[in-house]
Amino acid sequence: MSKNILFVLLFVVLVMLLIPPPLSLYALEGTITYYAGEVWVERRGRTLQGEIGMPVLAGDRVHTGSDTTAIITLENNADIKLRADTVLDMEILSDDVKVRLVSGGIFSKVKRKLIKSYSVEIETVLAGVRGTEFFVAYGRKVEETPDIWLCVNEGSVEVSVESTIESVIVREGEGINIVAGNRLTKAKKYPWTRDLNWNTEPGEGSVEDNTDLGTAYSDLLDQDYD
Amino acid sequence: MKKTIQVCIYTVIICASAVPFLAFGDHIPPVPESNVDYVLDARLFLKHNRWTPMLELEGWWEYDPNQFYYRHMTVGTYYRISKHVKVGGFYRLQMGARHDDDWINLNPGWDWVDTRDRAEHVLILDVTPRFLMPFLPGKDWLFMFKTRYMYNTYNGDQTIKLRPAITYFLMPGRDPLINFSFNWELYLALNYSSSVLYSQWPYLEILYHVSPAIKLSANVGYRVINWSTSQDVVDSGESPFEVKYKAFTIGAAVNFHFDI
Repeated sequence: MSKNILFVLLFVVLVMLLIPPPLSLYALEGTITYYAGEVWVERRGRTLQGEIGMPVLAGDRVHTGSDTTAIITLENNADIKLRADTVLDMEILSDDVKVRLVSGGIFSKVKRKLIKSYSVEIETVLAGVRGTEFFVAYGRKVEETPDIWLCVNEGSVEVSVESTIESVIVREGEGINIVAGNRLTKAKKYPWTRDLNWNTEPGEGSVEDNTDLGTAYSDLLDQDYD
Repeated sequence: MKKTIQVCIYTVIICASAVPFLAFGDHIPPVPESNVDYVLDARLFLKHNRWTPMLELEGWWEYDPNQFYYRHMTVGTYYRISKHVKVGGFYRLQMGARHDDDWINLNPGWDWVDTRDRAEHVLILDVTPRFLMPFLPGKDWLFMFKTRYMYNTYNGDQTIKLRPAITYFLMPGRDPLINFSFNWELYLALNYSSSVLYSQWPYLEILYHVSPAIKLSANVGYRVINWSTSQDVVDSGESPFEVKYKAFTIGAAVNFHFDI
């Protein structure tokens, strides 16, 4: 009798080991808490239409259409606001959050105390947050790879380029252009960042951000010297 | 012998009578073989959407000997009417301007009127198209053709200033750091001077962007001004003339730019 019980127990354990548990047991989830426009999620080869309340998991690739704003909330630890035409890979969603911006731009509002680390990877650039609120987006493609813009509304962000030892701390109110995605410039205040809409709470007003990143660039046709 | 003495006396008399004309009577303004003029500028630009109000102060150390002569204060605004074109309207208060009719008969002798205390009011209209030239090596090239109409209320002189210019922007971080430009300024006299091309001034300029608000520049060039027959010369019955005042120029400027 005891041998039979032991065999059943072993069988049950084996079955439990073979059945993959829900991911939520090991990682944080994100949830689409707001969108206006069109959102869809690629998950394990399937494309799912985005909906309010839909979970966003590690490994998902989130897309927004044109004229779209979407907000993903990571289990009350961070809000990620996606601009139009954005593709965002949710690589790691745990106490260490890592997302990868494939195209477009996002606002990140991080509750620092609840997350161990939060980083955004863009091409060869890594932005590790030390603070709470920053914006990152692709800029113009002047050279072979596009520029990357980052600016900080609260706190500070350490920006580094892969394969170099260089890094820059971008502080509150400052922005930086990573030229062609691989050359760090000096962090400084940029007038165009004053137009960014940082709001991630739909109940507190519009969350849409239509800031034209073209205004981040010098217009050589609009320069007067005499 | 007597005849020889007579010839000598007549020669002395003729030469003596010519002396006043050689010493004081030359009605053609003298021009130095070469000269160096200096110019300083300070400018303030305020930018608001399509408007760019401007205030400019300029002073020249010019002529031979160098004196602080021509200076002006210009105030007005540019307005961007399209992506490639700006227009502008300005008022200029100038002093020390030298016009052809300022060459006067002192009787005896000739000289320029000292106009350094004479205020003149000039109205200016400006049209400046600009075009990028990305097909050139380095891509960040700009061609500009500044065109100005100037009306001097003091004497009714009307002038067209044309200035084609080509500029290369050195932009290591996507913002201009240094501008290198070649400019050729041409002044066309519409209703004065015996030459339509009254003056021309080609110059090279380097402009350094110290910050978004401050720009420093330096320029070197060569200026040619055509002085022609003044009214006094005509009234005196003297022969008409045209002479060229030529000078190398060295200049510097500071620009302040603010968004409002």
